Amino acid sequence: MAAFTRIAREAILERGAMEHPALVVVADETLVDEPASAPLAGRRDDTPVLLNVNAQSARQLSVPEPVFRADFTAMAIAATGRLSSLSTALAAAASRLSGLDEEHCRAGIDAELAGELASRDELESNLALAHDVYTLASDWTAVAWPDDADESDVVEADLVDLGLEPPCRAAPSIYASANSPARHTGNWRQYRPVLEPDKCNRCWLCFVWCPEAAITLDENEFPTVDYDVCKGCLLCAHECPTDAFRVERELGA
Amino acid sequence: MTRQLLTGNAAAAWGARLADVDYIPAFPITPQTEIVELLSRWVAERDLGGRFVTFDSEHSMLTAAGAAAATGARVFTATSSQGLLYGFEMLYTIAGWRVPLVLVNVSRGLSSPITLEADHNDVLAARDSGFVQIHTETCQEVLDSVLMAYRLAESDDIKLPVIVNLDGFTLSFTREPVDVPEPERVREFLPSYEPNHAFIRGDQPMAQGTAVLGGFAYSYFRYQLHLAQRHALEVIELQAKEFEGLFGRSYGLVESFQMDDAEYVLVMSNAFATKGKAAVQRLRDRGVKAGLVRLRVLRPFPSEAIAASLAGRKAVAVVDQNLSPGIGGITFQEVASALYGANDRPALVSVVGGLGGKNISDPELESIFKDLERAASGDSVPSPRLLYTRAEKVSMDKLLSIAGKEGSS
Repeated sequence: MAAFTRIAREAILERGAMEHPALVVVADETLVDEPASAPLAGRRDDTPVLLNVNAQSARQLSVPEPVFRADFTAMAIAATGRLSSLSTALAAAASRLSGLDEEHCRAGIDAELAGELASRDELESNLALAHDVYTLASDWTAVAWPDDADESDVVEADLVDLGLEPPCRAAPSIYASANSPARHTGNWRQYRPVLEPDKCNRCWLCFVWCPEAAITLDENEFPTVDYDVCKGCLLCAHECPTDAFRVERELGA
Repeated sequence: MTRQLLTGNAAAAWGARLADVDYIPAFPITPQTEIVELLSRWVAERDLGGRFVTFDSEHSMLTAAGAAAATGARVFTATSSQGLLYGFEMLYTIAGWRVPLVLVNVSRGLSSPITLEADHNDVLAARDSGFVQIHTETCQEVLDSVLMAYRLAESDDIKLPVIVNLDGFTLSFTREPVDVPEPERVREFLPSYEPNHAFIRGDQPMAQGTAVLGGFAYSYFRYQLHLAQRHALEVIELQAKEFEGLFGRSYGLVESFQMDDAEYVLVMSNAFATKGKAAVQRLRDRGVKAGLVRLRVLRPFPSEAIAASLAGRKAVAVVDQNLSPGIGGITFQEVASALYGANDRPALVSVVGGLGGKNISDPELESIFKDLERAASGDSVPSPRLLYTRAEKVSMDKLLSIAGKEGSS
């Protein structure tokens, strides 16, 4: 979970992680099956999920209803040309689902972005995007706010006594070697660098620059990208002197 | 007054802005960086008239902060965790100079292993430095405490540097509605700083921070530092009353929550005290007389106020979000010491939790109250209780297995 928003008329006596959200926004569908992210943790049977899906991806996700799906990334890119506008789109959809008035959503986006964007036009295109998303989400059922009653069922924690363990176990060292590639970070990628071999001069700059060592050289000394690990930072495409990397919006990861 | 949604970091920066500080030596560190970023922007855009200077390290930054305070400037700076420790030598040195400045610390657990999230081992490592320490629970309290910290630090009968502490992430990156007072109102509470000790003026040269040999001189100055800290207990309360008169918000040395008839009490500090209050409320709904005391001023330590607040209760749990390896929770030792001479002492339980940003969960708080009931009826409970759940142990065993560690207990 990356961020939480709590809305209430009375004093909010909570801090940090949210144990039972009333609405879950998943900005990247590939996180749903990611054990390290577990974005649906704490979700109850009827908790709605707002899911940003890739319309062109064939991915099958098993998220129980109620789920509200849309390709917010495509809408954001179409409206502003910037992937970062995804936040605007998701904020608008979440506002609608939470029952916030559109004018408050608009004022919030204005206040958030006014100091950050270079021009009034950029702000206007974000506001237009928010309006479109808010309109799209108007058909969706607003979140049913949970009442406080379900807080009273808090039970005691299942605590354990930690016994003393030997330092070879109890020191923060990692004995298993070369296990970074086992941590697949390919689903971080929003854009995919694709090599066009006929443009490549085999200078190996991409191989040197890749911060994840996700680029290796094949038997003919052409670079090969390991898409299980490549995070899509696009340093390779940026550094390539012959523009041999084509950049595509990620569909499969 | 305007009401804004501010992070704890932004509230700290607003405190410095409203205090109209003269000088901001800065060095970035997560989770504090937003404070110096905001101040840098405000200085660049002339919203704030002071000088903003970046340094090569926190040691240099704190040296510059103390030196500037010794010229008679109003100084603000901020750091966190490893940064506070890197500048550690200067904390003791500056306090010994008896110069006022405000240092905001955004709490973050210390290495090793390295982490980014909150616990209080960083700020409590500085507890013997001579800095006053104010620990905050809400973003509003961060802003208000920075203003009260300047007022205290610059008082003629105090002249001590002050640390204002807020939790990394749970407060630093949490936005809450904050009343930002008008500068004119702030001036009523905090007039511009007119130093009568420690300043640089051509017609009145002085030497500061001199060396002394022979313990009698050293002891005199150190005892005076201690006496000034003890005197600050009284001054803090007087100034808090004045603050309340102007702004309507009340802050004590400690905060009492549902304490009038409380039998089972949590002692907590900083942002997670909010979760403790929610737990108290849940128990009250079930008819249990629960209460909470929040430690707000940690140095000087308000021993008398704490003893008065806790004596006569059935059982008290001191929840430390810190760990002094080899003894346990740090504030537990101090609360126990405050209660030693009291009549009608409660059963005392020490709890350690929330290290490195680990949640102090609602079920854990329930367990603490169960421990209190057991302790009140004379049963023994683990002390310190090191909060750790079975699910966390399972996750940890899995991590250790991935790391190639043998054996699982």
